[in-house]
Amino acid sequence: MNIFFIIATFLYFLGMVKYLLHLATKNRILFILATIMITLGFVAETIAFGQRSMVTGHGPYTNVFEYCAFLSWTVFGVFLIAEGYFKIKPLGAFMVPVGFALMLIAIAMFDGSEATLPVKAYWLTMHRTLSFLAFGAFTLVFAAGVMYLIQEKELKSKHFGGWYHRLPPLSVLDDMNRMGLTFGFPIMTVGVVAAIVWSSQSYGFIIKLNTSTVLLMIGWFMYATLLTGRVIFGWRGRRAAVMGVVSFCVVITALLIHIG
Amino acid sequence: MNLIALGVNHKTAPVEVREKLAFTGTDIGETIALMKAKAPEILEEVILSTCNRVEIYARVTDVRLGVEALKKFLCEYHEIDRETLDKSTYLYLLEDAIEHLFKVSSSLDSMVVGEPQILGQVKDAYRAARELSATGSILNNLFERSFNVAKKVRTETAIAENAVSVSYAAVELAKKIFDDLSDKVVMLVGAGEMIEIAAKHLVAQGVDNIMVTNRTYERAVEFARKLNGEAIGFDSFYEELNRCDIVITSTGAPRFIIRKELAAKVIQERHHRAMFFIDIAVPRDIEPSVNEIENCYLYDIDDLQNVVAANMVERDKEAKKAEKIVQSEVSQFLLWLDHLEVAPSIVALKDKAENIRKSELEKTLGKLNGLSNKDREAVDRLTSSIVNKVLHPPIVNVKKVAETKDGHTYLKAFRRLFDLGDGD
Repeated sequence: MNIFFIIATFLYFLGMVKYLLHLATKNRILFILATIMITLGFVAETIAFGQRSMVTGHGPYTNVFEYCAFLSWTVFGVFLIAEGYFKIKPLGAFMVPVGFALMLIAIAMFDGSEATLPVKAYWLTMHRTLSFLAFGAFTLVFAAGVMYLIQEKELKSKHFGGWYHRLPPLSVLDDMNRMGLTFGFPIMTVGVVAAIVWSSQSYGFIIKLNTSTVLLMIGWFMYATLLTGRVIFGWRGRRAAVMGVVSFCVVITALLIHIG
Repeated sequence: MNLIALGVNHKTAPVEVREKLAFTGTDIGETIALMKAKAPEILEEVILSTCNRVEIYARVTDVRLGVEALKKFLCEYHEIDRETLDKSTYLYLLEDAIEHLFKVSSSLDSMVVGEPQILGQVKDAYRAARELSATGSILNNLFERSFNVAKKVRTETAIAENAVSVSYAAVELAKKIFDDLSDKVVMLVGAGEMIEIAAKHLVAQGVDNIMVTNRTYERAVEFARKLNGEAIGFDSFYEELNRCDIVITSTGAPRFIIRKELAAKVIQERHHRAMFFIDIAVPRDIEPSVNEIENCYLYDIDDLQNVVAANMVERDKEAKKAEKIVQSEVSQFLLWLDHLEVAPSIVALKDKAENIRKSELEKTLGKLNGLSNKDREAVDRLTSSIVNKVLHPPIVNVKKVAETKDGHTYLKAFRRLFDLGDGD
């Protein structure tokens, strides 16, 4: 395995631990260190993918190791952008563990094999790249949702634990939900269309229905409902947060079944 | 080092005394000039005068004389009798004075612990004194250090994070729901002191869209004018509710004026945008189950008081943390002072020993006849070497212990044992 994957995993781990410690202690230095670790980890993983692609001649789309590692890459990428944009310190404690877990699965699944992409892989490449980017955005929606539900519970119950001071205002979290969805959903949709085009070009227009495909379709439908609800019916707050969390769980279950 | 802090604050003196002792910004320059002329015992000084405290921080030639001169000056300047002054002032010396200043700057000594204004006031007081050359290296360092301590306390503890008044707690809650309040619409239902304070806090957060309603329309108009808001008739305020993000109620109504059905309907009309209801009326104006509606948050007076009580506990905890920071900073500052004092103390000791040696030597050599020049030189060297050998360990040790935590006490003992005076 490329040494940079190992370095990236190690840096992600350090970053994750620091984000969690920052959540507990609110120590500013821990937060700064954590962001540095994740940024360096992201750079290392990018280098690793670059080197691997030069060897294999294609992007990281062919086996479970590549899937998971690339998913973690998009999660960390979206995370770094979101952290810079929203300036929400506890975000790392919620998003980084997801990325790190994916990285761990990737490494556990590494078997040294290198599949080749089928010919005429243009639509397939497009499908996978876009779906993975959408996944990164949905992780943001998920993290925002979890934080929203915790903060909302604090405010409704009127008994403030440590969360109340640590987590950002509800409106900011709802904004994060909206942003993640607005970026993620169109990308996912184009990704699905690309998959249909590719599949009909390769096998004719047949959709193979297995559990993970069905779950993914359900996930897409739920995100579609949430976005429609937001735009047309003004859904927001708790409802949007719950749907963001549940949809993500459906998608990640589909993913795990697919890997398994 | 003769550092003193003499003053009155909200705990030791009623406002009648504080206002008599207060200095206004314009006459501080004149005061300092006058003090320099009248009390030469005062070497450096800073005058801090706020509505809750009047304090003078000074370095003086002698504590007793300095305090006396200062008190005399205050009595004459403010035309206040000595007995009143003595009764209401406190005096802190050296480490207590340092600790007091650090606490004042960090807002640990304030009426509302953690309030942020005091640091700015201390900074202004210091700047004014420095511009008039009333401060020297000691007070300069002391005050600069106190600003760092305040900053440290602010960043390392959550002392200022928790609101400790009901109306401010309401504003903090609103910020946890809406983040930015400046574009929010507020409806005030009823009148009263508390609702007015809450409204003022909201205005301070940038809220400029306020609606006011009251059973007596004239009162609504009057209140609205005060807040630069819009008066609404009491019969039609329901129709305006869907425009409002924050609703504060404080009427004398015997029954709920906002029921769950109404709130649910309003939130529908608002496309589920969040609403924050603050009910400070007793009996309550808003049905408690409004809190169960999605995106509706309702706090009554008890809820707010509970928040404040919890914040108080939290603040006390943080204050303890802050005290520890202050303590360690005081020891560090004392260490710096000792460094300033340790070299002069050693020089003083050496001078003293040398003087004794010389005078004793002269006496003895005068009595001894028949010594050759060589013998005289030998005796001279002998006495020198005895003095140096005897003084060597205390000098080496005082340098060492001056750097420890209790250095200041050791240095004091050192000066006392060898009778070297008090320093300044």
